[in-house]
Amino acid sequence: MKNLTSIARAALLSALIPISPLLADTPSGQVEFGTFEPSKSRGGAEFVEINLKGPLLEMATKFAGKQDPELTKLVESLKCVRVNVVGLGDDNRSDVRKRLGEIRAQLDSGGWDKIVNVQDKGDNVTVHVKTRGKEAVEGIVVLVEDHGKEAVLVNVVGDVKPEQLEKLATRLGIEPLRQAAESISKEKK
Amino acid sequence: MNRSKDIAESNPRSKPFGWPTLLLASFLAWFVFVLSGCRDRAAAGPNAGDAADSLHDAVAAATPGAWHDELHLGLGTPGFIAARQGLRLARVDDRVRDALRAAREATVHIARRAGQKPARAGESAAVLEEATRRMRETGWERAVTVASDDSLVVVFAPAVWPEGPDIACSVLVQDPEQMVIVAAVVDRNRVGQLAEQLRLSGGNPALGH
Repeated sequence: MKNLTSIARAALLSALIPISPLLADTPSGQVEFGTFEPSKSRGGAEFVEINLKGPLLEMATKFAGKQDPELTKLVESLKCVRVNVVGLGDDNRSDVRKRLGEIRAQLDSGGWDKIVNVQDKGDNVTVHVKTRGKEAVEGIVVLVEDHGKEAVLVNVVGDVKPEQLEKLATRLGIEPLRQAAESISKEKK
Repeated sequence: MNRSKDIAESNPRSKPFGWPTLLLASFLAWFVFVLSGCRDRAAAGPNAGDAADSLHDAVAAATPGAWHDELHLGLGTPGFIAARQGLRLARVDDRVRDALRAAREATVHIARRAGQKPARAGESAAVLEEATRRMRETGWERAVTVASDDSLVVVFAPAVWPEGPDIACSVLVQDPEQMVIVAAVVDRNRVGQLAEQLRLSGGNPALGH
C-alpha cells in the first residue's frame, strides 16, 4: 500500500507539472518593428504583413519545394521572415516615418552595418546587415519609403546575404520581399 | 453509546477519506486523462473552434448590419476518424485521403451580409483591429495579413507553439458581401508530405513551378 501511495504521489505530481511554453531566445538578427495597422484615411491603401517563424516558416519552406543546394542551406538557416508593407495616409504617415527613423537609429547604434543608403526623389532606401565574424550573416533589415505613398520594412533573420534575398523571396512566394530585394539590386547598380 | 461508537468505527463508510485513497484516485484519473488524448488536446494549444467563433464575432462587431450563416461546420478528431473510415468505401483521389489523415480538427464558417447596406470606408481596418484584439486574448497572433480598403485576408497562428507535430491556424477572408473562416489543427509532417506530393504531381502555379 505504501509503494502504491508513493507511485500515486509521483504520478500526481508529474500530471500537475504545467506544460512549459516554448521559450525561445530572440535571435541576434531580429529587430522589433512594432505593430502596424492599415491606414483608415486613405482608400485602397495596401497593407501587407508577413510574420513567419517557427513551424509556419518550416511549412512555408516545405511548400517552396526542392531547391538548389545553396538555397537549401539558406532556407535551413532561416529563423524568421518579417515583411510589412504599409500604405501611407494622412492618419499614419508621420507616425510611420517617425518609427522608421527610430528603427534606423536603433540599427546604427546596435552594431548593424549600413550597406545601402539612398535618398533620391522621394525614395528612401536603407539596408542594414548584422554579421557574426567575417562570413556569417545573422540578419538583414531593409527599410523603404516610396514617395510618401508606402513604407516597406523587411527583416530576414538567418544566414542570408542581400544578393540572395530576391531568390529567397521568389521561392517563398513573398512578392513584397522580392520587390524590396529588386530595389536593393537597382540601387547597388 | 460505546456500542454505537463501535458500530461506527467498524462501518467502512463512516471512516474518514484517507490521503492514500485520494492519491490513488488522482493517479487513476490522470491515467485515464492521458489515455483519452485530452492531454494531447490540451497540449495542442489554442482551440480551432473557439478561434473561428472569435473571428466571426469580430467581423459582426466591426461591421454594420447582420450576417446570415450559410455554412457552419465543425469536425473534431472523432469526426475525421469516421470520415476516413467512410472513405474506404468510396473511390477518391489519394490526396483527399492524405488530406484527411493530416487533419485533426477543423471548423468552417461562411456567412453572407444581410440587406443592401454597403460597406463603410475603412471597414477592413476596423475588422482587422477587432479580430486581432479578440484573437490575442485567446493566444493567437497575426502571421499573414493582406488588406485593402474593403477586403481582408488574415492568417492567425498560435503565439506560443505547443510541442508535438500538430499545428493550428485560423484564416479569415472578408469582403463587403461575405466572410469565410477556416480554423484547423493539422499534423505538420503529413501536410509536408502532402505538399511534396502536390508538387511532384503538378506543381504550384502560384510559385511559378
